[in-house]
Amino acid sequence: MDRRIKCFILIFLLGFGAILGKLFNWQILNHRALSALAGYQYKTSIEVPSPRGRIYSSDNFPLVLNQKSFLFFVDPQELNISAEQLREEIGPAIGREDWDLEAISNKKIRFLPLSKNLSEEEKGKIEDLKIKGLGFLETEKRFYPEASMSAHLLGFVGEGENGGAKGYFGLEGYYDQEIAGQPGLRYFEKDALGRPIPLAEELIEKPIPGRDLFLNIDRKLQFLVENHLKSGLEKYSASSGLVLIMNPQNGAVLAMASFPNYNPALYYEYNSELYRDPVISSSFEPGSIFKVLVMAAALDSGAVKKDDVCLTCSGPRKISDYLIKTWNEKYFPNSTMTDIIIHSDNVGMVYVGEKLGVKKFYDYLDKFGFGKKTDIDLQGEISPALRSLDDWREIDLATASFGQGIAITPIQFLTAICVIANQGELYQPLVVRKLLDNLGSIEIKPIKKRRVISPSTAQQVTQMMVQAVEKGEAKWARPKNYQIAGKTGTAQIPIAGHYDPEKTIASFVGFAPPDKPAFAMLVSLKEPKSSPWGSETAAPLWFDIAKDIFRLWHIQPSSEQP
Amino acid sequence: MRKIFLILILCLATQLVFVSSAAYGDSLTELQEKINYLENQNQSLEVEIASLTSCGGIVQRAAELGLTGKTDFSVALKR
Repeated sequence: MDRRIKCFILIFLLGFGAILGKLFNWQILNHRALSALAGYQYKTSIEVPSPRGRIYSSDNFPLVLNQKSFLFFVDPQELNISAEQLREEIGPAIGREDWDLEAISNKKIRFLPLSKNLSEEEKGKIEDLKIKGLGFLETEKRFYPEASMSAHLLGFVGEGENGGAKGYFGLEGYYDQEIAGQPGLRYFEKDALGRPIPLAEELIEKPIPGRDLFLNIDRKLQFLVENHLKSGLEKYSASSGLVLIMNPQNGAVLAMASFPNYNPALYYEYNSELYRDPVISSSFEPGSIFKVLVMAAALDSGAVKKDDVCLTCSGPRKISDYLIKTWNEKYFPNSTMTDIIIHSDNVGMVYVGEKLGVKKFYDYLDKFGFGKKTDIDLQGEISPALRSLDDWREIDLATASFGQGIAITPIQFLTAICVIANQGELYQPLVVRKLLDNLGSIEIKPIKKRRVISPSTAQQVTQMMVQAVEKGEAKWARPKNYQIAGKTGTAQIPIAGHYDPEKTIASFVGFAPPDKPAFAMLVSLKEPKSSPWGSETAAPLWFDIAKDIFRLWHIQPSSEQP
Repeated sequence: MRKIFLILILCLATQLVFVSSAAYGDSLTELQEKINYLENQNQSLEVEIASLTSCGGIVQRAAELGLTGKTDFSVALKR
């Protein structure tokens, strides 16, 4: 062979070998590093939100679902009409025209979000216009089949610090981590200036959906309660109100309603003050409904006995500089402990408080759970502090024994009342009974905290409460043929160091049937104007709701017909 | 001649492998699209059913049909 040809072949082979060597270096030896470097240069990623867990009531009906929605964006470089034309043509279709026209006209921008949470129908309307340079990213929004029902309980989903979905208040806030799931990753190619090109995309990591929540909430009961409360507020001209229903046997929260409330789908249109659930986030002076707990403490500690006679009930009591009177200025000398509860006798309760003493009174408050959170699984619970043991004066013990001068939350109070209804045992209030995801379910079992009073004390106080319903001020409104253990309460509202003479908080607390309670319920109305008394406002509302519960749950009338 | 025949067979086999993997890719994409479509349908139906069977929806519909009293919701719900 010609020497020149051989030389040429040799040079060619050497060159080919050098190229192969380089390619081997790039593609085999340094493959990972170079591939990562290349990816870094032309790829960018965004988080793909995971579908948020749904929320179901006790009958497995969805209270919160996810609904497809769309983020509407424009690629100004591709847009073939002017920004003004875009606003005129699309604005009316989606009810939004407050766009940054300057940004839309800026041809250097490749991705400009214009509107979020668009429905499929709105997306269709825009697509029908066939305008170049417009696009949609699929997202999800919360859908509430029962509208604003249980708003305080559910909470809402807003934006977190990084712009993603975040739950606030109620269940959405408390269980945010469980409901949120794990976001996925979507990779985009980016242009030379680092801006994402949304049409060239690739899903790399699939999002993991959030866990579904299954509640103890009875949807039908919740609906009934909200309707009753709404009409009750109108009927009694109260400024706000709440109803809380629990199963005393296990602490399950069966219904929880308060008004005024808000629509969680449109939470941003409401005053943020409304986001807080008054049942767990507001404190109030309970008034006379508190007397049954003080009586339970006194009976359980042995400070008094059921048939003991009050020796100081014949008239008003002067304590320090204060004169303690009964609510109607009627006095009942030689009242028994049951009579004191039936007559809701403040002077009688001062006697009971004195017999009990500050130390035991304080210990029982602590055992009933006051001064600390109940640990209900809702975000936003507060716990008003109890006055420390050394700070109790004689007058503080006297007023606290009939429920004034002590601040508690409604959830703390009903949890304590459930102790009486449940033979003396305290259970933690629970809204959620089960969490469910692709891997299985997690049952949340009732949490028994401690024994507070003996079963016999619980039975004695229950009987006193039955008598209070049958012979007390609210007897006119009680349902016939049903036995109910209950207590009315009318508390004055403290303002700037004294009590407002005009305004009250009217309440009624009770449970039924007394021997084996299916439910315990608290009704509280703030500043009712038709009458300031709990016996004329909260009590009839409580009985109205109870009548519906008896029908709904097929609870038979009592055999001992009063 | 034999060699050329062998090369042709190898080429054909390679083609078949590529075609079948492309077809597999196509069917995978189709299946994924179908899954997405069904999931979307399922979600829409879930929302629609929940709206139609919600307490508020039932009571409103019942009231429109004149089936219930003004406030006797418990009876309406029990039905």
